[in-house]
Amino acid sequence: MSRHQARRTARGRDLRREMRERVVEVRAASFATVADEIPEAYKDVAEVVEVVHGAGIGRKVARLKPLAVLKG
Amino acid sequence: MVFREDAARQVVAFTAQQIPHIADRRYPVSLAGPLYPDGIPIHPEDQLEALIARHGVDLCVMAYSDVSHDDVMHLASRANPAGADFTLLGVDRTMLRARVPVVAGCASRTGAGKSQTVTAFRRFGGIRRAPPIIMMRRIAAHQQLEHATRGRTEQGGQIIGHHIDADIGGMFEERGVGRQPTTSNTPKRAASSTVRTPTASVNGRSRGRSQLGTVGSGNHFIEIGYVDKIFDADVAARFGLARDLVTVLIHSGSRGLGYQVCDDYLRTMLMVASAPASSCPTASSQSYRATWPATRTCWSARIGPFARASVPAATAPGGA
Repeated sequence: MSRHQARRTARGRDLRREMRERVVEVRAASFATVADEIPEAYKDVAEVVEVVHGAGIGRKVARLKPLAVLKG
Repeated sequence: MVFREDAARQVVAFTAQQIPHIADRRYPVSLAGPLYPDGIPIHPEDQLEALIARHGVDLCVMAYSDVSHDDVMHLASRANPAGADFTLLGVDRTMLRARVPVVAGCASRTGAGKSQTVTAFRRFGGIRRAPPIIMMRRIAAHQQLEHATRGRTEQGGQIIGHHIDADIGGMFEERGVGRQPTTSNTPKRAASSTVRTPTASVNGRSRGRSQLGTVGSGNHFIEIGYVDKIFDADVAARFGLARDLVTVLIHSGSRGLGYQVCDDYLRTMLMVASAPASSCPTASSQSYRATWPATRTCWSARIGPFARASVPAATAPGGA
């Protein structure tokens, strides 16, 4: 999903509430930036990693889980 | 080309490995020449030893492209014990003589951008009526360049040097191509534009100054996380990763530096390409050097996990 598509999909949704339900607290100077980051904008990372691992491009070493993210 | 009209030699077969679906077909009469009215059979490469035995082959000739030194010598080590000599052909006997000016795009790596450079040259460069372009592939690029250089001095053609690989960069200097005009008909304009010690471009610097210490926009981010699961204990230990270790993950862009370097030097390149003769290799060598600071930027952006405070897994959002 492109950034543009993400923004369109996010229109009219209460992203702050959606994220809070997933135990994620969002702070943003501008809400337009948050719209980039809707869950649908991302592929399932586990699936991506499995493909990379399975294809022998990389090997699984450790899994990190996020505590806090600062977006550029 | 080498053996076609040589009646003293008989070519009994080709082997095919790289190009799909040509094994078990025949090398056509039109290419094989009058000595081979039935063409020449092409066999899969794994039959090499069998072919040598069946035909009593004296000599295996490797005509290769895009394979590694290892692959070449592996073939030699199959041909030799089977009884045959093994040889590689040089450029003098294998290159066709050009009747028109030749533009050569040389680079040693697949994906280095030969096609794009030559296309750009063709579209924007000095040659309006585009001459035939010979793309020279990565193997033995230095020999090919030497050959192309010779061709240029004899025929007034032009060379674009677009080199990415360090060896190729050194090669241009070794041969003095671009450093000093190598032909007497080089115009002063082209010659004077050849000498300047390049680093990151001026635009690259001014663009970067205000961004120093920032992570970048778009999809760049800093993530504080923790190690949730270990899959490969040995490697994880070498990385210094342990369960529940707090990590800082930084995805930083080049902050426009790479883009700027490319943009600046593509412009330079197109400019010098419109002037006849020898400044192109120098411009491309500058562009190549300008990527060094960019590479250093990449290295300095590589940091390992530096936060080493363990947190209880229970404090992590969603548990672990």
